Amino acid sequence: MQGTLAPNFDFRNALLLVAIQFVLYFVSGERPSDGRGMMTRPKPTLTRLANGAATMADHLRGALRRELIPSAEERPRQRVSFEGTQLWHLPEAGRFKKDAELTALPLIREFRQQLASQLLNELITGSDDEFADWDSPKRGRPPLEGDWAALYLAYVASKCVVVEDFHRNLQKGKLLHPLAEACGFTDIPSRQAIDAHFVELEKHADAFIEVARELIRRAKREDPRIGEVVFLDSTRWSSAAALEHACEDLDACFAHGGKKMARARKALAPEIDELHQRDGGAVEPDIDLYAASIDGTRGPIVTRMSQRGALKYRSFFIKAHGLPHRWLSRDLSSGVRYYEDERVFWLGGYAQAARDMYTGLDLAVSVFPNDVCEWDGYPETYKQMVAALGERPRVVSVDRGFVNRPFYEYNARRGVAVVGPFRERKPKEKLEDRRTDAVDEHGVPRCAYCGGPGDRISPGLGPAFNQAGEPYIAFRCLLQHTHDCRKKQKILCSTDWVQLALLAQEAELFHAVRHAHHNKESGFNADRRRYAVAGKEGLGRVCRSGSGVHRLRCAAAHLLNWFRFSLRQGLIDPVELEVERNLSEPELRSEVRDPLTPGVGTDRLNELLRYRDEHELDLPYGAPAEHLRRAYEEVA
Amino acid sequence: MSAQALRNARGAFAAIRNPVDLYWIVREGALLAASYDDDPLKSPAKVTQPAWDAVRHALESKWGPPIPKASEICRRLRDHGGASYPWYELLETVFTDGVSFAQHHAQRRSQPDRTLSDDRVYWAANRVAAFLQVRTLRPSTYDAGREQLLEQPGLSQRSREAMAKALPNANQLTAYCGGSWDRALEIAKLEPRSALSPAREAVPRAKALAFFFLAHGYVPSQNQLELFACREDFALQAPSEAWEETCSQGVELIKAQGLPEPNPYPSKIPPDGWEPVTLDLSGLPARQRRGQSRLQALESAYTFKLDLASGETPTDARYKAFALGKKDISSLNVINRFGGLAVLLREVARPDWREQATLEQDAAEQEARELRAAEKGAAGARQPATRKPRQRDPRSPLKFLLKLRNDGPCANRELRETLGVSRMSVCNIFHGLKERGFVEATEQTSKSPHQRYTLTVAGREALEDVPALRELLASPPCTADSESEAGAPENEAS
Repeated sequence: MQGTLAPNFDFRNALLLVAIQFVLYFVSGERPSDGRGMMTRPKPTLTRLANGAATMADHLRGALRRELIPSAEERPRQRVSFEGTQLWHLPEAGRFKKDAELTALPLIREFRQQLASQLLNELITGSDDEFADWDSPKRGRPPLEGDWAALYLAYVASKCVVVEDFHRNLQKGKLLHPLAEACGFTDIPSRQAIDAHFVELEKHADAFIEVARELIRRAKREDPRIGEVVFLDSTRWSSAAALEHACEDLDACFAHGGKKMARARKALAPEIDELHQRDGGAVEPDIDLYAASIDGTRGPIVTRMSQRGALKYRSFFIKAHGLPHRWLSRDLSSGVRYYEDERVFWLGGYAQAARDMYTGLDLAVSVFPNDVCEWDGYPETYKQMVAALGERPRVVSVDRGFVNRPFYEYNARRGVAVVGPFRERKPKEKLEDRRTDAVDEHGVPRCAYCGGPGDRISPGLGPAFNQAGEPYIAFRCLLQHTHDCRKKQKILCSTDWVQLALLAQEAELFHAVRHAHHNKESGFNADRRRYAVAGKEGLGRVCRSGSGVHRLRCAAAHLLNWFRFSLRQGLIDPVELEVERNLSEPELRSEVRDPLTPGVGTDRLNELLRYRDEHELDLPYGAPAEHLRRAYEEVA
Repeated sequence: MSAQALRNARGAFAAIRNPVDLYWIVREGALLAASYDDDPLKSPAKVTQPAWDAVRHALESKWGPPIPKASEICRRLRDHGGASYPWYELLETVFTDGVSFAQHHAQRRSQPDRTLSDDRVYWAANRVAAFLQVRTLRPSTYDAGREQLLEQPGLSQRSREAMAKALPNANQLTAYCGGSWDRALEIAKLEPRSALSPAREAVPRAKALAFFFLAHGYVPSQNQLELFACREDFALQAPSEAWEETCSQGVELIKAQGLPEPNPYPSKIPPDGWEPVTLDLSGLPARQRRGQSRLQALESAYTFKLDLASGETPTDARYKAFALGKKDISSLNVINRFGGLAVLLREVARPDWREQATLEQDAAEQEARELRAAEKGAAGARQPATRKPRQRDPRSPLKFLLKLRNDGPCANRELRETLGVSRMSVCNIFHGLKERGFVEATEQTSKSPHQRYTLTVAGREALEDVPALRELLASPPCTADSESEAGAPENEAS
C-alpha cells in the first residue's frame, strides 16, 4: 500500500484489511507481514515473568529432548553427501589486533555511517514496520537525542564493564568523550540515563544479532565456504551478584550442616574450569538424569525490605546434609551449581557459540544460566545459525561435553554431521568395547552376510533419509565373500546415534575437523580481550547481574566482529575509514596436496588406519563371519 | 631463492629439500655448534637444539636459505608412522660412521612389513577357494584366483583396495606359514593339495610298433614308425636301444596279445590271419607343439576380447587370469612374442583380421616350404658334381695275379691290404679275372667260413708274358659305377 493510489482503489477493503491486521497484532502479538520480505522486528524472548519464577532461558530447559524430531521443513529430503565438503581456513580473518583504525572510536564512527546502524535502530525502535507510529506519544521530557545502540557498541568496544567508569570517561576532556559525539550525543547523558537505556537494550539483544546475521548472509553470498564446518562450544560466565545463605528455619538448618553450608563460597574461575572439565571427562550422561540433577535449585523470587526499599531476590534451594538450604541472590536470572565435595558454588551461566571454522567468527551466540544443560542450549544456537546462514551447516565439531546420543540424534535428523571425541559410556570403557556385529568401534558398518567392513564413502553410498525421515547409512560390503554381499545394505543411524554419525571416521575431513577444533577454543579468550564478554571474575566481569546483560554484550560483540570482518574483507565499503584489506588467500586444510603440506587430519587418519590394521578390522568378524566360516567348512 | 617462493599454500616456509641434505645439515650444524661451545671437549652428538638453532644461519651460505630449526628438521625426518626423529638419536645417526643417509632415511620412511595372522590366512585362502569353486589350492592357482578377484567388474576402488589388503599373495602366505604352503592350507582348513600328477609319458617305441602292425600288418622301419606317430599325433619315446631289440620287443608284445606273429623285417607281407584294424589313438599323449602361430595368438586375443565385460580394460593380468587352465588359449608369453596384447587386440579389431592372418600364415608356410625345397635342391645338385667317377688302377689285376702266384691262395682281406682297395673292388677284380679264366674261388670251411682266391693254370701261363697280359687286361676299361653294380660275394663275413 505504498505509492500513489490506483484510480479504482477500494477504500473499504483497505480499511478492513488494516483493521484485521490491527486486531491480529494485539491478539497474537505477531506483526503482520508487509509482503515485501522486509526484515521483521525480533520479539523479545522474555515471555513469562508472571510469578517471577521464569527467566528468559526457561524455554531452553529440556529443549534438546523436546525438539529432537525436526519439522517437515527442517528434514533433509535427499542423500547427504560430504564429497565436496572440505575444511578451509581464511587466515587473518578474525585477527583485528593489527588494525589500529578499527579501534572503538573510528569503528563506531564508521558504523554510524553505515546502513547497518540504521537497520539496528529501526529494529530496536520498531520503526521498520507501519505500526511503529501507532504507539501513543509518551509524556514527559523529550528524550535525549543520540544513538543509544551505537553508544552501547562503543561501551562494549571500549572494553568497559562498569557503567560508572564509562560515564566518567565520556566527560569532556576524557578519553572516550569523542565517542559520545560520534554517537550523536550533544550532551553527555547522565549515568542513570545510560544505565536505564542499557537495561532497556537488553530486551533488544536480538536486534544486534539480526544485524550481525545480515552481515553474515552477505558474507555467505560472497563466499559459500562460510558456515560449512562449525565449531560448537560454551564458555562460562559468572554473575557479579553474591549468594547469601538465608534459611528460614534456622534450627533445621543447623541440624543439617548449616554451619558448614555457611562456609560455602563462590568458586574461583580456575576452580569452575576444573570442575567443568571433570564433568566433561565423566562418562556419557543420560541427559534427562543430568538435567534433573542440576535443575531444581531455582526457587521463587522473594521481596525483602532494605534501606533502599523493597528488593527482589531469587531464592535457590541447595540440598546438602539432607536438607534443601535456602540461598538468596540479587541476580534474578542466573543459575547456581553447587559442588558439594568442594563446597563451592558457581552463580552464572553459559555463553554458547557456534563458530565458523573458515573465518573463526561466531555465527550464533546464545546465553543461558548454568542450570540449563549445555546441550539444551544447542537447539537455540542451531536455529540462530540456520537463520544466519540461510541453510544448515554441514559439520559441527564438539568437545567431549556434547557427546551424548540425543545430541547426535538431533543433528543426524537434520542432516548435520557431528565430529566429536570418544566418550566413555561406562567407567573404563575402551574403544574396542563398542564393537558390535552391526558396527565396529570406528562407526564402520559391518556386512550382514559376511561380517566384513562396509564401504560408506564411495559415491552413491553414505547417509540418506528414508520416507519416514529416519536417517540411515547406505553401504556395501568391501570384501564381498558371498553373492549377497554385493547388495547395497542399510543400517539405521538409530542403531547407535553416536557410532553411526553421518561423517565417516575413515574420511580425512573428520580428522581434520578434530584437529582444527582445538585451535578454535581461543576465540572465547579473544572476545574476552576485545569486548570483555562472558567475564568470569575480577575486572573483566560485568558488574550488572543477570543473564540478560551478558546476552546483550555477547550480541553486541558478535555484531562488532562481523562488522569489522566485513570492512576488512571488503564486503562493506567504508565511508570515511581507511581499512587495510585482508588479502590472504583461503587455505585448504583437509586434503593431502603434496608431501610438504598434507592435510591436517592425515596423521590422525593414519593412526586410525594403523589401529584398524592392528585389530584386523578389515577381516570379517561376529556372528555372520562365524556362519560363513561354518559354511566354508561344511563344503570342505 | 626468495623467501616468498618458498612459502607453501598455507603461507608457511616450506623449502623443498632433499631429506638426505638435512642429515648433512644437522651434522655440520652440530659440529659448528660444538666448536662454539664453552666446553672445548663438547661432543657434537650432545649439542642441544637451541645451540644448534643459534648457528643454523651460518649454514645458509653453503646450503641456501632458509635452514629450518632443529625441531622442524626432526619433524621433516619423521618416520612412516609420522613420529618426529628424536633429536639425540638423529645426532647419533649423523655421527655414526658408515651410515648411508639415503638408505637410512628410506628405511625409516618405508612401510613396515605387514604382520599376518591365522585369521587372515584363513579368510584369504577360503575367499579365493570359494571364488574358484575348488577345495584346495596351489600357490599359482591362489595367485591367479586372487588376480581374478581383484579384477572382477563392479568393484569400487575402495573395495578393490580393501580386498587387495585382505588377500595377501601366495608368497606372503607361504612366508607367514614358515615357508610351507601346506601349512597355509591347514590353517585355512582346506583339503591338502594332491601330489603333482606325473607328466603323461610318451608311447614306448615297442608299443608304437605294435600299433603300426595292427594298422598295416608288418614291422616298420624306424622312419616309418616316426612318420606313423606324427600322422596319428601321439608322442613317441626317443630311441634308447638298438632297433632290432625294439623290433623283438614289439613282436613279443604282438604275440602276447594273441595276434599273429609278423613276418620278419623287412618283409611287408602281412602274416596269415591278420586283419586291418582301424585305430583311435586320440587317447594317447599328444605330441608337444613346438610353437604357436600368429593366427592362434590372434584367435586367443579375440576370445579374450569377447570375454571382457563392458568397461573392463584388457590388461596383461586379466589375460593371464583368463588363459589360466585353457589349453586352446595361447599363454601370455606367446601373446608377447607376437607383439603384446595391445597390438593383437588392435589387429583383431579390423573386420578382415582372420582372413588376413590366414593368408599371411599360408604365405609364410609356402615360403618355408620353398625354402626347404631350395635347400634340398641345392643339396641334390651338388652331389653329382662332387662325386667323380673313380678310375680303376690298370695295374690292380696284374698285382692281383702276381700276389696269387707269389703267395698262393689268398682271402679277400689279404688282397685288399696288398692292393690298397676296398672289399668290393677286390671282388670286382676277381670277377673280371674269373671271366678270363685266370682265377677261381675255393670255399674254406674252417672256424670262419670264407672264400679264397687261387690262380688257375691259364692264369699261370698268362703271367709268363707280362707285357701281353698288361695289354690284355687294359683292353676293356672298367669304372667304379660298374664296380658298385656288381654284387658282393655272398656270405661275406662282416
